[in-house]
Amino acid sequence: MNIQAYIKSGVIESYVLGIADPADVAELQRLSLLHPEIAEAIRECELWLEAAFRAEGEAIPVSGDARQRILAALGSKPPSTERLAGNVPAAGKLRYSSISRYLAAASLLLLMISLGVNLHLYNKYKKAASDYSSLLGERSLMLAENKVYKAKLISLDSSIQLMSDPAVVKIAMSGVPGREINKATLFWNTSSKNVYLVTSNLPPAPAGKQYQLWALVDGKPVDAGVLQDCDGLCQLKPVEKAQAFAITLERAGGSPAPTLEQMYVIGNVAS
Amino acid sequence: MVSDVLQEVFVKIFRQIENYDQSKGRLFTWMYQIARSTAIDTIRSADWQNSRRNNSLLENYTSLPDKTQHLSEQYGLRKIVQMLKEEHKVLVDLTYFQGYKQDEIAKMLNIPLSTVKTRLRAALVQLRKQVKL
Repeated sequence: MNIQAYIKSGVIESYVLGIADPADVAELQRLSLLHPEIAEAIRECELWLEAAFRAEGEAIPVSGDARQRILAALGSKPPSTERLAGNVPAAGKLRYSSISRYLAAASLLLLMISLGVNLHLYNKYKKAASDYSSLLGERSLMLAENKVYKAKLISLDSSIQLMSDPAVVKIAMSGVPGREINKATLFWNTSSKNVYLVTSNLPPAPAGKQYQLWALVDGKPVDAGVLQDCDGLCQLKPVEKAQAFAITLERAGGSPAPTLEQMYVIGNVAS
Repeated sequence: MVSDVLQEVFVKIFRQIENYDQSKGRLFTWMYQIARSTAIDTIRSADWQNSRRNNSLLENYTSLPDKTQHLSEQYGLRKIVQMLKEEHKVLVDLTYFQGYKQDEIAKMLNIPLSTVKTRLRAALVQLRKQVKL
């Protein structure tokens, strides 16, 4: 397409004057985007139109009340008459202030909406954050519990391993007269000589005291260790040989000889 | 009547100023096109036709200066349009001053639309040369 011929064809004039065919308008707008020289020609033509109207010389006078009528039609009070001389600029100012008032109101409204939305989002955020931290707490609690169960399972498993050894002898220790409710179970590995104790039915040792296990070897009590704080199966000192086992309550750390009045349970080794 | 049109033009510009798109042209052109289309709408409206027929010279007229009758010949492009060739003059008159669409004119004058376009464009180029500034 010959751009210069197109520019000179008069289509731009018809467009600017507002009498172009709709199809020509569409084409011209499209072409003006592609060719800056067409856009420039349109601008020139617009300037020409403006200048042509201005060069008309004296404007056609209008009736004196035209300004009041226009302002009334716009729904605003006419300003004082002293500014009547500068008709158009004053009207422009009025329009501007009304638009800016409208814009101010709109932006205030938007600000309030945005504040509301922010508040709402902030509350949601706060709730989510606290939910999250409480979930974190629950999770670490569950992890800790899980660890405890795991440890218990492992110790249970090793206990089962221990007890299921064919060399292990199980000795039921029952309460002495007057302390019949007390019971303990002793596992004695006759090949490794290790001794394990389950003290399920002994009252908790008072402060400063500890339970002590004794092996009765040929009628003599031999120290087999004190009971530490332990869960389930407690390992004590290995015992080479014994006919019976007994538990007494002694002072913390153990005694060289058993206090017979403080004997809680006793059990014989089946021969 | 003229002041009614003037008032309507101002009101339209005021109400539609947000629709004005700077990238599509100068503000002056935009306002000019509103003014022109408002004027043509008024001229073609039934009210105007009636008032012309009844030759009403009552209240609206009285507030205007006396030269109303001769406005069209004295001002604007009319004067220059008179210098154009007859076939050009007709097209400028029908489109610019009476607001007919080009396809309407093609039917009215029984000539092809492309001819209407070519002649009108040539006429406008002539006009612009006449009003060289």
